[in-house]
Amino acid sequence: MKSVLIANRGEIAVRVARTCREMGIRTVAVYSDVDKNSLHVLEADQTVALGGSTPAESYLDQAKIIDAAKRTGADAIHPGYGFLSENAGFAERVEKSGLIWIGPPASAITKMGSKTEARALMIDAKVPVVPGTRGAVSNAQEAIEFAKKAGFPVLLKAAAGGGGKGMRVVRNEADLEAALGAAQREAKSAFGDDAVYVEKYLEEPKHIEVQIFADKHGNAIYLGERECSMQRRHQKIIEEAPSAAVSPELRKSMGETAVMAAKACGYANAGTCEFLLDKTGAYYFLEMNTRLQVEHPVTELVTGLDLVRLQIEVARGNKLPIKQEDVKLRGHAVEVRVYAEDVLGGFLPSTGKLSLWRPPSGPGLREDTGMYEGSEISRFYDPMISKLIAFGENREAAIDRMLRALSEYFIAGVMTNIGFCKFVLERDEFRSGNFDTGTIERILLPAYREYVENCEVQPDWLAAAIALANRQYYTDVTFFKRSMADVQSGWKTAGRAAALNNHG
Amino acid sequence: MFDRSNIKIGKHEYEVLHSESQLKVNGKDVPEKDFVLIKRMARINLGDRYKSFVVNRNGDDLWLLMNGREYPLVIETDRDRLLKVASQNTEGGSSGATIRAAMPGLVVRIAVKVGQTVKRSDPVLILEAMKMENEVRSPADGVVKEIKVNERDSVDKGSVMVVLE
Repeated sequence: MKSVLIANRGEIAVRVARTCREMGIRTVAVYSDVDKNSLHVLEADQTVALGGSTPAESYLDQAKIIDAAKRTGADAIHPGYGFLSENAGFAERVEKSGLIWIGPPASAITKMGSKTEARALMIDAKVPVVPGTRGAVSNAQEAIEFAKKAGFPVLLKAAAGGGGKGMRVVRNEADLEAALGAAQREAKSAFGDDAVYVEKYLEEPKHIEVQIFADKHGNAIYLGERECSMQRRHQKIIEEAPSAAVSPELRKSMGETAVMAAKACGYANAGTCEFLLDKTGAYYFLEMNTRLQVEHPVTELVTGLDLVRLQIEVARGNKLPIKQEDVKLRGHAVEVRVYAEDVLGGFLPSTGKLSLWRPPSGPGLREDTGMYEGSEISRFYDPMISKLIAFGENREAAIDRMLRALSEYFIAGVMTNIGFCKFVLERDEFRSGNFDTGTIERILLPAYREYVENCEVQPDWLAAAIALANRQYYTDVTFFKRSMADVQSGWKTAGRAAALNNHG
Repeated sequence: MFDRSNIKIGKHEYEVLHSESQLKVNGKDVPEKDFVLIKRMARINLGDRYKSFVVNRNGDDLWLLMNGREYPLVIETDRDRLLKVASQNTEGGSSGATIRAAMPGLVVRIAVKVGQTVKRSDPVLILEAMKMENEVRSPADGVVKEIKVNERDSVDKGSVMVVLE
């Protein structure tokens, strides 16, 4: 494998290209019209325009992507996450074209891609699952029958789903029919498949997922878990490895279950088993994601492994270079997904140009992004600006480091969730580790609204400085320093004043 | 000659008067500080510590960013007041409520017709953003006067979708 086409955009395309470069592999980027100045394009060795602006016209157009790989002499395709990464038909087409697919076999994607088929397979493999309908429901009556039997609330889920799309919690019978219609439409539009099934909705569970890796020689290992319970609108915003709620015994049990699940579907390459963990320590298989996850960096930091490198080695047909007993977890990692969004306006996407972007840096930090200052957050794609990851020797140290990083972070031009994430990381709910997938919407979002709306009185100098800064905004002067006359001493030292004078 | 800025951080109001040689907040003199603005990053040296902040603008919304924290911000300068008066004179006197897109997205379904009576919080249309359907509800009781969008239209943040009277 000498050349890889990366069939994706944004931070994950940049991240995959970085490992390729370290391995001496040439990278080919593809891009839509909207993305022509994106970082993943600017940094690739070779680029191919797909045209269009919607995903369907570009990153989801299988024929265009395979053609681009052929024309550029790429010998493999890495799908990243989202887009075509869990499309078994595409994986098959890639291999039929004589290209290497850096991902699991099409057969495993098919089995795990349908949530209903995966559930059936897991039940047969003695993996615990959440009670639910065995397959998709064809009408509201079927859903109501199940809900009455299992008890409300229930969760409607797209069989082909992921990322919270096509998902609805229903608390009473009256709302079920409308919710089913909405879930089916969302599923159809996001995945091209309107199959929706019904599950018992577990109240206040934790979302814990296990990273697994398998090669084509029958070896499979688990790389510990990730804590992904901090979610809004069913999408993760803060992830950790390891989870404060998982003991070494539970880790081993969940890990071995995940490996069993992988073996049951003939898995190879990187995969993730998602579990719900209830307050009693019982866990249920939710689904398997047959691709690299957004939050894979936290696992990389605590295991010291490069998961993209492992993906490439496995795709080449090599054996996994490590065994289960070689996997040693060290320290703690926290990831914040920095989104361009209006938190108090319902976490809605905020579009615009990153007119100012000053990311943090320093010890123990990693940031994966596909943006740079001046980049545009468009309405066509997920509004994630970056993933910021902090590493520390233990959980407290990692969280403190993340708080320091967030306090250094400045973005202007779009609204972001930085303030909200910092608020969450400071709260006892988070620090205690005692939170679940509903904590944000139940407790933290209302508390944040209160915190923002009732902020304390600020010192006069701040109001004065804002007025001055705002005047510069209008007059477009980039440098301004007030006279140095020291009206009341104790505010500054002669040394600092002198240092600032040198700037003037 | 003073410039006047009225600043609101959260619920707290500050009137700032500034001239070349003096700064007053709510009528009180503010001791001098070193203040530097480079690009849009402001940095103030308080002697025992420093503070950096940014004023973030997104459409009409203003936020103060400081220490990783966001504060709702309103700034009104003499210039803003002049502009506001000018624009009010040109806008005319429509009294009905308008329903604007709170985010850029795609109109999936329109649930009302022109002439229809709607009550506050009735569903008006469904706006899809990032593949999530978001129900847009009526902000007030009224009658649908005009529907400015069609199903499958893509709309920008702030654009008027439905007018009520």
